[in-house]
Amino acid sequence: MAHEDTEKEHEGSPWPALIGLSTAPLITGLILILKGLNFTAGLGLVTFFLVILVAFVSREIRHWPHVIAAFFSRLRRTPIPAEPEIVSGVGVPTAIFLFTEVALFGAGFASFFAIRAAFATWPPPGAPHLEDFIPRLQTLMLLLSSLAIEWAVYSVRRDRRGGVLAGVVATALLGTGFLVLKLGFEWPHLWEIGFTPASGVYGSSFYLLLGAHGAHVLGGVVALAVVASRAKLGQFTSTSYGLLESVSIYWHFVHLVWLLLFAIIYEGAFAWL
Amino acid sequence: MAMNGIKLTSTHFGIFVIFAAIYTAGTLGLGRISFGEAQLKPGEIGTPLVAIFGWPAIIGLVVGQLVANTASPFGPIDLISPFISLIGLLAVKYLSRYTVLLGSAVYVVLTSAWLAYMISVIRPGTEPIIQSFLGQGLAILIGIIIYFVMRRMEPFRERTKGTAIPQQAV
Repeated sequence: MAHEDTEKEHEGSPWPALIGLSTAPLITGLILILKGLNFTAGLGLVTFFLVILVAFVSREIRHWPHVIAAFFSRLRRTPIPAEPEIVSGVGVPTAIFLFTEVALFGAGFASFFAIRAAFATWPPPGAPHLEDFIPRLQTLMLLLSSLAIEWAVYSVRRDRRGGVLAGVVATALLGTGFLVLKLGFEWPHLWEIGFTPASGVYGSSFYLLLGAHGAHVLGGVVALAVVASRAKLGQFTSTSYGLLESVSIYWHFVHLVWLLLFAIIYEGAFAWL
Repeated sequence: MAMNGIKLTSTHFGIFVIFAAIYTAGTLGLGRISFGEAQLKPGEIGTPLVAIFGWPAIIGLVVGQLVANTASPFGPIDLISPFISLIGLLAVKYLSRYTVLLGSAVYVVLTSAWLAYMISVIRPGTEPIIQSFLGQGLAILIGIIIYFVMRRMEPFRERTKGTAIPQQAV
């Protein structure tokens, strides 16, 4: 009962917003310190953020043992999953989460175009021609993976356990294949021909954007592995599959970002700009 | 989050992304496939499926077209095309109550007329209406075949209720 009260207490908690807003003073403070503009003011702003963070942690730390125990218990089939996982669809929290991701990648794309605008020709002279065969395969893999995770969602709504597991495992395998193509084939080849993050601003932009996306794919694969292990234990039903739903939304979003990356980085989108 | 009383689910978002990917991957990944005079755009094949998947598919195709057309050889003028397609896609959705063929025909006429006009503006002296019509028509024809196959498959039967499908097929 105690942890149910805790979960209710977290509904509408101001802490995420407070911490998010206090990152503005943090960044401002770091800029003041690192640029040598005003060390005292900078230190004050960084300290303000740390005070907020410490207050949050000291308040929340008592719940962590339960949260950690609940997570591992779900993987060991204990009675804890008796609480149904709310299936909320694309609600406001999901929309806010997706907005933060849009902001992250939006900042990445904005910096890419700002850098690009500073060059008379793009890619800059001397940059290698990027082959798009592997990215085309990756695009196909993500398309199939989105279909696979939708199959899992379709199956769970009809209480078909086999379909859920098959869909989630197929999605995880396709995501892993995406990473293998990138890290095992494309990037080693580019490093061999001397195109590294140190190859100038083009190289650093390329690896920053694709690296950030790759990290998101990796995060998705880890989440899918957790979902798969819980699906294998039969913990999802037609009325309780909130985690699967959240992971599927996240996975579709990662796919959507890839479409933009594919068009902009490999297919010369906005070449007329 | 609800729109007009309809709760947005992960599947709505999934359908949107899948259709955006079908258009983008079909256009940028596969390019144009030549069949004699006609230049088939694989990205257009998903169009008749709007009759099954509705609004998420329409938005997905329009967004996919916007993304793909940023890399169009025709330049920024091709960014107008998704809005012309939107009118055609709405025709596919709403006319599918009667038959998917009618809406698809409207789509083909509308988009190939726009494509032909756009090409004639960019490359004066050319009259590409026949090629545009054949290319669009061929892609939509393949899409219609896929539509008729899919609407008989179990996961999509529920979605096609209310369209012009005989009840015994549902």
